[in-house]
Amino acid sequence: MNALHASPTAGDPALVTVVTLAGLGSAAVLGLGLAAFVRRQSASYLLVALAVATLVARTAVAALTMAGVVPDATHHLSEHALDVAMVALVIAAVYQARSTAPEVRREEA
Amino acid sequence: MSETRKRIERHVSTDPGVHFNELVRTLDLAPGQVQYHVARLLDADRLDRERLYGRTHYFPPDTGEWERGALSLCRRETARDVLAALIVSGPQRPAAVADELGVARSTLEWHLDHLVEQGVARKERDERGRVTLVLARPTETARLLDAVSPSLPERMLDRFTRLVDDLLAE
Repeated sequence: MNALHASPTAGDPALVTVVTLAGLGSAAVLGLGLAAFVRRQSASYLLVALAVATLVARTAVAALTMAGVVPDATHHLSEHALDVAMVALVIAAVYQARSTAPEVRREEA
Repeated sequence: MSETRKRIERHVSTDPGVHFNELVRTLDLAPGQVQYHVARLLDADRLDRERLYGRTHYFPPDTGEWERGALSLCRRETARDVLAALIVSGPQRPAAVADELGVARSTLEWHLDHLVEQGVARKERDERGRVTLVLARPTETARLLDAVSPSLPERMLDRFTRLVDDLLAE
């Protein structure tokens, strides 16, 4: 029953390494996403940045679980709930793209 | 004047339009230290600061108005690519430039707005209103492209927006 996401031991060096790498990597991508949003100021870019933020949040949940702040039973649900949020944000960004990216301006058609 | 301040002044004169973060990185100084000395240099009119499109650039005071805008844009990878395409192939239609660079039309237009605003490129319209992109000063633009190059974080940010524009384009 517990084979998937078996209770993580806080001291497992492999897990600590993976979570650290995921944290650093997703934080760097979030930095790019936020800088891009600041530059473009469009709804699509905000949604993309938020989608990337769910990656960071996923790592945060993993880290908090390892630290014993988030109970084992909850972390599974919250991580997959973040997946749902990410998918929704990406779909919203794609949907939004049509109204924010006028491809050809009238005078240039 | 302190040695650090001289180093900052020298670096800005060899790399006009440099960003604050890049100064900190290349001179291997603490951010607070750079901040302090830059403020003193600005007060003494030995340095000028220009805020363009979300980034702060530092220039030697004798840098001309046109050069400031052009140098700032020559530090952005996609804008550089547009300028290089216009230097190599001469005046072109926007669609041809977007095709050649493999960027979404929205990416191209975002950069073109800035290039036109800074007088680096202009949009010439024929009698049917069709646009051709023309460089205002091709020779000088080529010289400035050669003089500066974007830092790694700037390149990454440019590529991120290119990718997103491309993915979200219709």
